[in-house]
Amino acid sequence: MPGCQAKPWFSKGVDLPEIQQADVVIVGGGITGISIGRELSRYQLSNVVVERQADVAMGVSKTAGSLIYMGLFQAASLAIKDLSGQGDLRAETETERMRLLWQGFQDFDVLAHELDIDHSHVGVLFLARNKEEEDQLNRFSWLAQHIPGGTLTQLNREELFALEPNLTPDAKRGLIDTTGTISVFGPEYVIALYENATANGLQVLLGTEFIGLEKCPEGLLVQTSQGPIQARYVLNCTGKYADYSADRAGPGRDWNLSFYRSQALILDKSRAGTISNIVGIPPAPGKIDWLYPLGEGNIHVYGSNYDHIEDRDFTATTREHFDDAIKRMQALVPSLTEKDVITSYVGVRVFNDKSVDEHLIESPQGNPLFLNVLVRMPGFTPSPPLARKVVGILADKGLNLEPKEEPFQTTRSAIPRFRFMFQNERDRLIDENPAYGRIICRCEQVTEGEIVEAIKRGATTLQGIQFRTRAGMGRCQRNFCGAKIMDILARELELAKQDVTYKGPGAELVTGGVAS
Amino acid sequence: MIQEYESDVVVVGGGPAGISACLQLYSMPGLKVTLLEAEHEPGGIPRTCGPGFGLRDQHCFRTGPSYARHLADLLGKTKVQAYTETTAVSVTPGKDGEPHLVETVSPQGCSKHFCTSLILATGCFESSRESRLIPGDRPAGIITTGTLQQQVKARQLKPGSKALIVGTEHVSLSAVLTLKRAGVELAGLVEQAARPLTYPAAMLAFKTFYRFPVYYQAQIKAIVGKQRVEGVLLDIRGKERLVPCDTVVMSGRFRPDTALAETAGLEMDPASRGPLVDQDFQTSLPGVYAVGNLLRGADMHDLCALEGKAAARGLILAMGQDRQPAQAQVRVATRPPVRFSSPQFVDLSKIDLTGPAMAQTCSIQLAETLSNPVLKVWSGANLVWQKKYRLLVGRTRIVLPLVCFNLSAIDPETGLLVTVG
Repeated sequence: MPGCQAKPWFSKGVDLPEIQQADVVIVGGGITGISIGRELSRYQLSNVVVERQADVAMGVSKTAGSLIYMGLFQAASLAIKDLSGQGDLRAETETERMRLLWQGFQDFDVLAHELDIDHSHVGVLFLARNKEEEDQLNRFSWLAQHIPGGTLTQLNREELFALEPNLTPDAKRGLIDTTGTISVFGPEYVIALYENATANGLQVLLGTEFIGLEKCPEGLLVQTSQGPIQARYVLNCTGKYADYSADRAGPGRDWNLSFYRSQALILDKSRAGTISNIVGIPPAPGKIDWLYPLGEGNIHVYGSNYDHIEDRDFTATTREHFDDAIKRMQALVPSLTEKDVITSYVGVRVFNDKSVDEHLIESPQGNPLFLNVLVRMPGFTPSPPLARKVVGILADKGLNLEPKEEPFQTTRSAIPRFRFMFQNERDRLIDENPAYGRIICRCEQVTEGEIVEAIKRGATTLQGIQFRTRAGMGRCQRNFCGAKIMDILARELELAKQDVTYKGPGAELVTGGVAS
Repeated sequence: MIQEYESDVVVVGGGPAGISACLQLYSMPGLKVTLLEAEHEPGGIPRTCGPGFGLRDQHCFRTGPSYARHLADLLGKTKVQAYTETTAVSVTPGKDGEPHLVETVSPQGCSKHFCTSLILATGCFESSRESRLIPGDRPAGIITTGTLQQQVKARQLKPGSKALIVGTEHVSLSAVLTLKRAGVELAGLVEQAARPLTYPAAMLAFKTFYRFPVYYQAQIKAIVGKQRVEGVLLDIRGKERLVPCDTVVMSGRFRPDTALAETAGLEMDPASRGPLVDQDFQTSLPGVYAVGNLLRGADMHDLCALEGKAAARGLILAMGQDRQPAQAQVRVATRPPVRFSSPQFVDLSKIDLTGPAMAQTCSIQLAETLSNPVLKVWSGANLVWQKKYRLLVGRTRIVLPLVCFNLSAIDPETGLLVTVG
């Protein structure tokens, strides 16, 4: 759109002409791209992330399972993702990938502390209802011992119900891992990294699509929907669109992606406390049956299979999957009902066919300056060491890693979480800024102050506000606050209300004015 | 500094029920009453509604905004201390006769309101698309009637160009009016049941005048559209049909806004999804009352107003007496398709022809519209009352006249059961 004013979703802090040149261009603003961008921002380099969507974490990162995990859950994850059922799971515990997972798991607590990411350690409890499941339990108990991070305890029926009194009465015994899993809200994690990375000089262009790549004397010329950027190295971190991006960069792709979909439910906070650990049955390949009690009090229900899909954008929910999930939820905790559901979502998992058990990080033939970064899921847990590894690969390719003269800013503080504060803390905050005294989202107790702060930090859409503050994520799902948040976005971004969107251009909330 | 206040009664929620409670309480001399309202002005939902307000409580016929202003004016003439833009965030019930504590937040700061009695009137909201488990994509353009009215009436904004309304309750017709007023084309109404959940004559009149289709026995198979709604795929008695539209209005299926009531630890009725109350609108906690649509989702505003008044009268009568919890009375249970009873407990000793009318009834709702139904009330095997109707509209208030019940056939231990056949 020549001559058009940069829309607020377009860029953060920079206009394109200033960054016609970059050392590294990262395509994709999910957990992988932003983690690498943050890692690169430690050095005397100019780095740019281009993200097609209106915000970061809008792809697979948005619907990832929200856990950082090792131990028993990692053992379960190996089993679930062993879709052929033929894999050697024991061997998988000794891969390079497992080493990165363990490193990432160990890094997380410090990172969460430095970046003020809300998180909580949560137990993982598998129950067995029959002989077959008991055998499975034993198998997982054995497998999990080869994975670091977990602390396993066998539970007899009495101990099981002492911990989780609401479980299905046909549960016979259980296995719990009390140290191997941390719950976190995925988008919040990515946003925290994003805020910290941009404070350290990373440039992020939102609403900017990667179109193609040309070679030029200085290196590469990255064509984007907002104009060209000259770069020395280009990384493809586009998750489920990695094949498209690779093809846009040039020929030589010798791998394909396949996609698996699963549907999840989120339950009302009024059911908080119904379970206190992640509970589930030992999974079979492609099958997930578990309930997560998340930090904010909502239970996430995964009662789903990995359904193979051809259309990677098939993220619509279906009636059959709702019915299935509710049946499987009640098989674990019978007191939960359909009435407790406040929302639902679909996650898509991506696998490549070239490197089944490992991350695929390589340049195509004839284009060593372009690097595909295909993460073998899970992607959140290994992201910090994976980012370091990718930066190391770039260094091997000749990128000069000279630390910056000014110190790297390691910390970032979260937007105040009004809902967790004591009244005297709240009163002090309101005294400084009365907007913190205006509750906009009543279900989640989110204030105008938090919403304005989220906009200052880069939120430009209703969903951006949601992910940064939780406004609109409660049981009424924006019934009371949707219009008010639209008002605040329009006011702060100086937009007409019909230009305010739910999740980027094309998702406008209203279409115009009413003739009086 | 956290401000502290003391009152005899704190009312939370300045809609028809809350304001009416205040007006009634004010008639008692010397009573110190405080009203807490989260919005910037009192009046509640009628502020953004259409015509037809005030009939049974104010004996007038006004538009929603005019009715809301009228109530706010009446309130302004009293000495009730009303705080606007003040959100009650938690209730801590007082134990053993200690005062109840309501903590609030406003741009002026945090406050503590101590009170002897508390009336909760926090209203209701329409079930979201998400909680109705309606499948499909998650684009922009899916709103409730409540949001529609906020957009059109309070902001003069047009939600889209063509809208499909989900539901056929009274409020669905209100959505029709609001959409028409905003110049939005109607793609039709969708109903799972075979008949409307409003008066058939009203539906016929709207349908004829505004010319829109109503799809009965229709399930939504999927909402289609990645960024903005592009259409809705319906399954109408086994046949698929794609209805193009850019807006979907989720109407009705109201549910109580119990966020505050939950902080108090009030006992809830899973059937009505609101707090359990007795005939005087007292909850499971002595001295804590719940009125209006907090009890069960939407009933008409004027009935909520009358409930507010009735609760206030009961509260005044109970002053100085020992606080008795609701469970000391006879439980009224229901069997589907009867959705719930409100109140859930009745005090048989209070049933007499001379008492206030509102405290003499029990209201129920049906899940669906039924022709020639017979309502029956049982106490164990004893039939306590029955009545034959020509038509009962689903999700609409049906009043059971307690004074007509065969009181001698009621076993207080067994309680009452309402059935329909």
